Amino acid sequence: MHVIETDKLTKRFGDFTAVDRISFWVESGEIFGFLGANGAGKTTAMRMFCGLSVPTSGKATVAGYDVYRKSEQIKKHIGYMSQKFSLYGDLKVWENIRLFGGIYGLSSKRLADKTDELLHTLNLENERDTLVDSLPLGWKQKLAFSVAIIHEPTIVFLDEPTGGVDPVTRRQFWELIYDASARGITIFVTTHYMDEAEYCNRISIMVDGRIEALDKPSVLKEMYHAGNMNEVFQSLARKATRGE
Amino acid sequence: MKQFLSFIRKEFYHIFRDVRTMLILLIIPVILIILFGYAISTEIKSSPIAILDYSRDNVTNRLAEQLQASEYFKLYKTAGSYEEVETLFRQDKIRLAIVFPAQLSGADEPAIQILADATNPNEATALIQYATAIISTSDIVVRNLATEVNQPGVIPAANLLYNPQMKGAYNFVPGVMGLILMLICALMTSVGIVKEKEMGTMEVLLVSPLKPVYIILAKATPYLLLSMVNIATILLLSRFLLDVPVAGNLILLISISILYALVSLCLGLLISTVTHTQQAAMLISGMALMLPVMLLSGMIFPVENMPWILRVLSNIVPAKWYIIAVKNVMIKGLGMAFIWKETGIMLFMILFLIVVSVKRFKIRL
Amino acid sequence: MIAVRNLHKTYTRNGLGLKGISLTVKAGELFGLIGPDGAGKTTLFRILATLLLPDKGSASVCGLDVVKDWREIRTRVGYMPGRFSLYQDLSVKENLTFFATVFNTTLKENYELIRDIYVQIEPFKNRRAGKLSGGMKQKLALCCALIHRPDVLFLDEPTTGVDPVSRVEFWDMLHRLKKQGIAILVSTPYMDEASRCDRIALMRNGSCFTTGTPDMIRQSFKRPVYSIRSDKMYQLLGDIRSWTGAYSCYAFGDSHHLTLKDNAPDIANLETYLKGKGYTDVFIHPIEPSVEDCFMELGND
Repeated sequence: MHVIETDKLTKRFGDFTAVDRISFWVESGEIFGFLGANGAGKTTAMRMFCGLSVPTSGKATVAGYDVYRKSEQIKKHIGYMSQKFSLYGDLKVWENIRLFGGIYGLSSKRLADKTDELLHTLNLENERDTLVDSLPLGWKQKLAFSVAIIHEPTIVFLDEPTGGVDPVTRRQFWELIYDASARGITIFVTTHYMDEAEYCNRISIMVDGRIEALDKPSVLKEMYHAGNMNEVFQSLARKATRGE
Repeated sequence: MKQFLSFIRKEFYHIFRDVRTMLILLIIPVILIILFGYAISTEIKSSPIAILDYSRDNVTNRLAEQLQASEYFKLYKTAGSYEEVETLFRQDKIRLAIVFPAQLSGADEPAIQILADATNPNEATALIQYATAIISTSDIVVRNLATEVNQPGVIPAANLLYNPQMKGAYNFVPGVMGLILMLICALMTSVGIVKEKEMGTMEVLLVSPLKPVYIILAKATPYLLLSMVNIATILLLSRFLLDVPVAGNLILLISISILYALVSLCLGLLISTVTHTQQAAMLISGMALMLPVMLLSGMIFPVENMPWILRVLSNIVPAKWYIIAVKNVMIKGLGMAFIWKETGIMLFMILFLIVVSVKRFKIRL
Repeated sequence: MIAVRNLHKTYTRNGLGLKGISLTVKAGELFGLIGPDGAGKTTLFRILATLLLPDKGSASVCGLDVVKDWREIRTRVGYMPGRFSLYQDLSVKENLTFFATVFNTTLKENYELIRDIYVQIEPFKNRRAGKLSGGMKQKLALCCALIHRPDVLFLDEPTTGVDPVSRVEFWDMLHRLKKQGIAILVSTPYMDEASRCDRIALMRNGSCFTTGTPDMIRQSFKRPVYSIRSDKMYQLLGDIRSWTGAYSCYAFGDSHHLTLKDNAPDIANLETYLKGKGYTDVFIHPIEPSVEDCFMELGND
């Protein structure tokens, strides 16, 4: 089953085509890296998948629901986490967990179990009553990710989740991603760290609103005769003509 | 100087590009004037009254006619008994009742009874004053009653000076001016400065050769100009729409307005030094500045009738002094000699606020 | 051009700040502060830009004291704060003109210095700054920070959130600026950018645990490092870590980096161990440590 399936999905703002006829699919349980330069159209595409923005034309389903008509259903089956906003800094750790668990309709019994399990996995048991603002960024992001998948969504969208996080915590974050993926949660992630692109099962690279390349990292490297993903990205993204 | 002008130009870009806010700023005074002028009029017009006349002679008939003829009252019913008057009050049909005793004309001490519904005390007081004024100045009363008892001085003769029609506009136009100037100068200046802090641009400006005092002045100047536009709008509207002319010296009126605008700018500046977010600046300006202007300046509620603590507090509300000064100049047509106290107080406030804000304005983060 | 001696600054609110930092930057040097969020990089910048007062220690910029001579320093430095700090509702051109006059100069006067960068944003000169993409915003901000030809340039995380292509372009620009004799202090959370600096300081939790050229830092790394690849990469990570000779093992793109314990058995032992676990295509070879390896090792106290 394909968790995301799009066919010539397009979004135009006036005479500016932000997303230009993209067609691809994401398989269930895979870690899909969604790369592209700033302004290539990644954010616009992500917003359409999350049911926040209506496409101009083309088709797309997320978790089996049509993005045009079933955006409310989609929101129930996805998780979302971004670098900018994820948790309420002026709430305590457990209050954030309860809040987001409550939003996704977890029963209080299940919520209590989940909270303990989550704090245990993250080694945050002693920080239960700490305000989220006073946690280091890396811990905050790990917590935010765990909260984003607290309702076991079909797919979770991660928008530059590791920006500014220290190298060790960044790797721990990816270990959490692998765990979630092993549990069957599909991961859809954007990043500017090219080493992280290597950790994905498949990646796509967007240039000027179109998907220029999409495959396994190893295949892409071979295709572009590149030693690492950074070189692949550089050779593709340099073709961009719109400097937006 | 070039730095300064360039900064002011930038401020105008900000103002003109935020079309919505700018329109609100320009339209608010118009709306307030219309609102106070027509909708929430504090004047009394055509209040329903009842007359209970035990006398029924030519004097009382004449008085009843004169009461009805005034624009303040409208006869709801000629009552037959006290009980009926009471019922009418209970049913909220009338605001005032006038009782003429039997043999009013022949009495040694003629006593006309005026009953008012005091659930709204301000209105009741006003109604009683109007009724008393009409009765006491009535020709028939003067001729028949006053002479008969031979005590012409007993019946008070009220003369309404400066505002003979008792129009509310004379009271609220200065009030609206006080409100608008405070809104634009204090609120917009504080929000404008705090916005730079919030956006991080203050960081860059501080790490530049630009003197902090320029930043402050440049932020304030556009709003000072904008508030002058508003004053002009208000004066034109009040002159041509509400028939409230400027009786005194226009230059003097504008000068005290600028003085008051400066007080407001300083207050805005002070707020900007203690807040870090636009919301906080807006809340503080709204709660700590707007409400006192509305409540304690005498614009809506007379300060004289307030408990002593509020009367004392009202003295630190700049709008109170401004409104008094504007009333003196605009309505009474008085000159500088009569507003030196108010001007002095505002000048002192400016000095005080500037010293405090400059002390508080941080040259660092 | 910049001298920092034992600088301390504590924030009572969250315990972050600086815990004794010392470093020097020469004219025409590109100095990188490498460290994650919360390392104290921004605090250091703000003290040097005279926006914050240090609790203890001293610092000078262009030979001027950051506490006493703050007014003079402000005319000599260019500062680009961590978040985008230009007027979003002003166009590119208006922002530039405004900052030029603020610094008592004109766009023309120092055009040579910013020409390289300006030509790239010129096509969008009438666009509002808020509508630019991340990379373009950073280029505009750099232009604004350079407009008065400063002697010292402070760049606080100029490449965070910027895509790899724009990042490479940005560093190319910094190299050209360096040649003009400007001392540049730049911070970044991206370890791979360390190699583009003349010297770097690795920072964490308010202190810097090592300073030097990237090569020096790499050479000071004591443990042997191996790059390991196989078919089941994620599973492999856990299995390598449970091998007796493993000191640490982290994913590095398409391979894992393993550092050895002091008394580790021969690396051939690992290969046998992994084959025993059923891995095929196991590929192990020794490598030079990267700055990121050093950061993880040294910051691991």
